Amino acid sequence: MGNLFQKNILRFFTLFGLQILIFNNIPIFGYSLPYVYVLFFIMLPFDIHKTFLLILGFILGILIDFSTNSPGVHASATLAIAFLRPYILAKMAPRQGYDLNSQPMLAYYGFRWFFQYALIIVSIHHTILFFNLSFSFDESLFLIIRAIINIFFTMLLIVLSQYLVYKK
Amino acid sequence: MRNLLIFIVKQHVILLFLLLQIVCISLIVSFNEPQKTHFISSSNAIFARMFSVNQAIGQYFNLATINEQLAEENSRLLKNQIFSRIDTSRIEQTINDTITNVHYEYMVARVINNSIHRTHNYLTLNKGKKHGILPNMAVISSSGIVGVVTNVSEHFSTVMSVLHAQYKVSAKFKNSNYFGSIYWNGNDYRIASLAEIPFHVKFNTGDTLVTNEFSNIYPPNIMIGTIESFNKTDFDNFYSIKVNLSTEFKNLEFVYVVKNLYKEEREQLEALQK
Repeated sequence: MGNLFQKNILRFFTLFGLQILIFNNIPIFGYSLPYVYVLFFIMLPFDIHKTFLLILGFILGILIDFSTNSPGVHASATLAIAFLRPYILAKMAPRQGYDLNSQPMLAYYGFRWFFQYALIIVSIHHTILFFNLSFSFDESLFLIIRAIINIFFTMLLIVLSQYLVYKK
Repeated sequence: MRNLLIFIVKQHVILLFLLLQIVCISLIVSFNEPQKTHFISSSNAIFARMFSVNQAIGQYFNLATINEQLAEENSRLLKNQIFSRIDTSRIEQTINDTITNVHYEYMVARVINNSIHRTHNYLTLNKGKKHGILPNMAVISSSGIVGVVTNVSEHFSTVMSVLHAQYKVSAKFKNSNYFGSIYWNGNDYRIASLAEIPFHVKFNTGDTLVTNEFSNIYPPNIMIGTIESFNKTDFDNFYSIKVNLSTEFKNLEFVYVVKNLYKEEREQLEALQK
């Protein structure tokens, strides 16, 4: 358990660092940035306490916000996924339930499960994030296209990470 | 109280989520310029919509009055149509005469004393009681209004000029008929002020102001001046407007004293209301 805690702390800082140092600086097609820090929320342990999860969501979001100079924009989106994650996991539980020794990773539950789970989380996060960035429905179509492109790249990186880094 | 505490403990995840989300949204709205403007403008749009709906409803309820006015106007216009007339050439002349009785008589007078640099300025004219001049008659020049007769002697009369700090005259916009009152604030003899014009009235610099008949002194549509400049003040609901007076007080020589032939009749009628 101690090991898992340390791993998650390490992941928190690694992803935060990667996000603000690398991914925030490589816009794809000029305007979409992959938000890989969402992976942190995806890979938190199954049995993490809901309150603690919310606080983590707020802290990581606000840290990203301060580094991109957009207070509240990311925090609002990360809070939403931190709040919804337990419900999503409960809905997607396999018949025999989650094995508490496992983690929500592709290596444990297979590509299909992991992809669906990650896509739901990333989509919710990006929808709220892109709405927060413009704060209006004036250019909804443009916004949706941007969000979809962004979801695609974020998902690509998250799935790749499962094959390259987070092996069993 | 105990139930409230139980509720808070039980639902603390949702409550914490909502609380932090509110913090986030207030951060977004207060620290991000584009989002802030969107937030303000969309709430403005909602209110504007509410007001326009409100106005539309008001218009609907006014339809009855508007219909009545239109019907009245129609009947009046119909009466003037050529097909609703009988050709009575013989008596047309007399009809025309009764329609246009003389309302105002004009007497020419010469300015023999004039001042413009005091705060209470008066003129003296070379006509008096003997020539039919009475107090409260209007004085105009060929270019605009001058003032009102205050005192009359046998051969002379004094005129309180528009350039008198206590003098007020009702004025209206020539193009829109909105009225306000003109007064002089005691500085420049070419500039007067126009008060009581509310913010919804639309006008431009250069618009013409003319007299109306409210005072029962001046004939209508006598030139007063043009709008020089205007601005909104924070502390009341009216524009503060500077008016360029059309009368050149500095070189006045001949003026007209206006006699309103129906003045008594109107005064008597209006006195009944008081």
